[in-house]
Amino acid sequence: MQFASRHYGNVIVAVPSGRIDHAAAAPFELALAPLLGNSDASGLVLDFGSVDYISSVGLRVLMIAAKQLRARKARIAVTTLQPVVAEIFKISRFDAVVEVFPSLRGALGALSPEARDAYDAG
Amino acid sequence: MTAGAPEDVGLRTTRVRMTGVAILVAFAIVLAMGWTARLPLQTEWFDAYQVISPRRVDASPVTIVEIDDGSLATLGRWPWPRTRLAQLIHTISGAGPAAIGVDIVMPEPDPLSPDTLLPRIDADAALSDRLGELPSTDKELASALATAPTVLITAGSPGPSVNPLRVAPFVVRDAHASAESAARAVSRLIAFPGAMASLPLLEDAASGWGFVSADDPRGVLRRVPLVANVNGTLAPALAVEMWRVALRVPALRLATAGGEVKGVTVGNRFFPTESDGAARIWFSHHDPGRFVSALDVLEGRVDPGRFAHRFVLISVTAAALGDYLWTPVGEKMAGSEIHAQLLENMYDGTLLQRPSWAPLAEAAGFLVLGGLLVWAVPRWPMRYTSLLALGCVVVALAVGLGVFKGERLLFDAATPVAGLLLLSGALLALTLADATRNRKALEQVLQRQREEAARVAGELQAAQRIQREMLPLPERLRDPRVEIAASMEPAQEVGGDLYDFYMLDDHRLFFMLGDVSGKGLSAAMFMAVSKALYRSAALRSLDVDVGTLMSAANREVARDNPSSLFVTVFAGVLDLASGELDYCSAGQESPYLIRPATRDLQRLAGGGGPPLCAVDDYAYASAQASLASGDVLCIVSDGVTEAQNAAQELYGSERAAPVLAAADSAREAVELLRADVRAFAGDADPADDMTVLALCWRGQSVAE
Repeated sequence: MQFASRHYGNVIVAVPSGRIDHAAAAPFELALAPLLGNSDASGLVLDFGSVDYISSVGLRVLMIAAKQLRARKARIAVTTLQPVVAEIFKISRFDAVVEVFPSLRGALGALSPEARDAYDAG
Repeated sequence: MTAGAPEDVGLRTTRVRMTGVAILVAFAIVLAMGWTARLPLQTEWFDAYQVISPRRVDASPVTIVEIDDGSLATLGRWPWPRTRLAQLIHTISGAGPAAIGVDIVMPEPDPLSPDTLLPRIDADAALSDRLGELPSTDKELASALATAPTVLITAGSPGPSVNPLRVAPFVVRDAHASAESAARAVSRLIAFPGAMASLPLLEDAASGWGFVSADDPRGVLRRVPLVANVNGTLAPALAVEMWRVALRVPALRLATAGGEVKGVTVGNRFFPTESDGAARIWFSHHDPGRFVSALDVLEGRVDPGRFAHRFVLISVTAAALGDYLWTPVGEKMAGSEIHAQLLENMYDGTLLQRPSWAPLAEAAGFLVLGGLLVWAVPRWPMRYTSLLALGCVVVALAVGLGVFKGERLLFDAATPVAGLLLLSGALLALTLADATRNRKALEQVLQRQREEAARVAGELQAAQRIQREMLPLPERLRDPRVEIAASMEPAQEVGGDLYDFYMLDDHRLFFMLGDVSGKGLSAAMFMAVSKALYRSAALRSLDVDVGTLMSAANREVARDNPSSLFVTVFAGVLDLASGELDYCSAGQESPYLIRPATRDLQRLAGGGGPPLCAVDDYAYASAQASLASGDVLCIVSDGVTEAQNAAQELYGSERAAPVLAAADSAREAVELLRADVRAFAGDADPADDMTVLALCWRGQSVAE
């Protein structure tokens, strides 16, 4: 699993890639952890465009992140799900745990217009 | 890599080798700079060459006329009147020697000379007249010296010269005509503040004046300066001066190059020296054949052939008077015999040479042999490396000795060999230490792995036992209206799958299948807790729909969830009388509804919500379906849909549909599905528990 992150306005966009399976769950959790502690951010968007697969252990990481963000009124969203991952989200009903958007721009717009402007500005 | 873990062999070899190279380079620098030149080891080794291979003397060009104890016993004690020395010189001179070296310094007038005696005695006139008529013994010696090719000695002294120093002219000739180089070379000559010479009367009469000194580090004489710097004057050694007198040349030449003295040229003979003008004598053993007694000479008992065209040295060797020095061949020798050996060396061209590039050659040899050891020691078994080290030592010593014997060149084999032994010792010690450390580290890792395996095995066993014991047996439910089949194949690492079923009342069957995210003991414990909480929630509120039950269970389970796990659950309540199904899925794969009557297969996808614990206080909605008699409901955990083959392809949920469509009973559904997943996964290890729960409602058929 690879992991990158950047800021658009007050929203953090994290871009994991590869398989978030049993082996990758711990690195995924550790990569995500510092972003969750950023109290300036009003939201976290996970761009799953390059995520090929996520196992239940990976979903658990998302769940923990969602609880942590929700506790401080921040939002969490995932975007650009590949079909396999979208199926997993649908079956596990994780669309109720994190917000799911088809595009990054849409997700940013939903979370913060300011972030979308920053995204549009490049 | 954790601390103390075994390192790979390459890394260890590299460390041993780095240390080896460090020692190698450091010692090579020490050798190349010649810092070991003054070490006793090198000196002793050069002496050893001479002991092993002393010079053989076939025919010496030198005869020593020794004023020995026998001469003194017969002719009177020393000092002899100088007339007797004159007589001795006359006798030798008559035989036609090449040169006569008088190894006696006579700085004072002869105390036995009549003119010296006369003022000191109270003689009558007659005696005075008679004594006055006698010639001065010094004059008599001077006339003897003047008639022969004689060389007197001047002895290096720590104080300034008393008599003026008389020397043959020296011409300094630099190979590249560099005055600076010549001056630098001259400044390197062994220097003495002064020298003690004989009376000017005698000096004037002699043909040559040879410098005598003993440069004897640690008491053994090895080197003799062929030319010394006596208070600014270049003074040739006695042997050189005897050569000059013998060759009848007026001047000497000092050859220099690159700021170093290269040697002394006398006529057509060149005598190489080291950079300070000194030569190393290749000693033979003491040879009595070199000596004749002065008494025998004076009494005419010596064949004149012993003197003709030879170098003759006149010297006092009487035990009480002679100067004896230790030599590298392990014998004490009279100073005159050392002069004789030097003359022989000069005659035979057998002076020993230590080339100025010798330290570099030694360093290079050390680098080659040491490099071999550095390369081999971490790689070869110890018995081979020991043999190799021994081989290197033997090669170095043999080459050193061979070059000495063949070329009379002095190469220090002993110091590099000491370096090689040091190096191989260090390399062996390091390799051993590394091997020991690595073995210990390996043992530690093995121990840790054993402990970890035991711990995991214990945890796994506990988890598997919990999981197994929590599951109800399908045959326990003896109701003809329903057939239940279940299968759970635990993965190698236990997951947290669970299923459960029980009658809520006479007609209503509650069933559930859950899958805890996560693995191991915590997942199994959470599964057990979830199942118990679910059961209590279900049994507490018998009349509510499954969605409400799910919401209640979510609250219960989420309340105590320290590991932040979540659990996907499919739960349903089947009315065995009517076939009405009320169900709710919390993040669980939609069950398959197989209708054997129509060979139709549906997925129950209505209602539901996220997994339990994922969202607090989620309001789960239930959905309903009506089962026909013979319908089979099949619920699978994600161990089925996420089973992978070797190519990492997922089994998915679509592959199961045609397989299950063929099932006519719960048991068939479970077995067909399990077989198909196994065939798909092949040899790949299951990553997760694979759980299938199937139930077949037979209500209508039973009723019919």
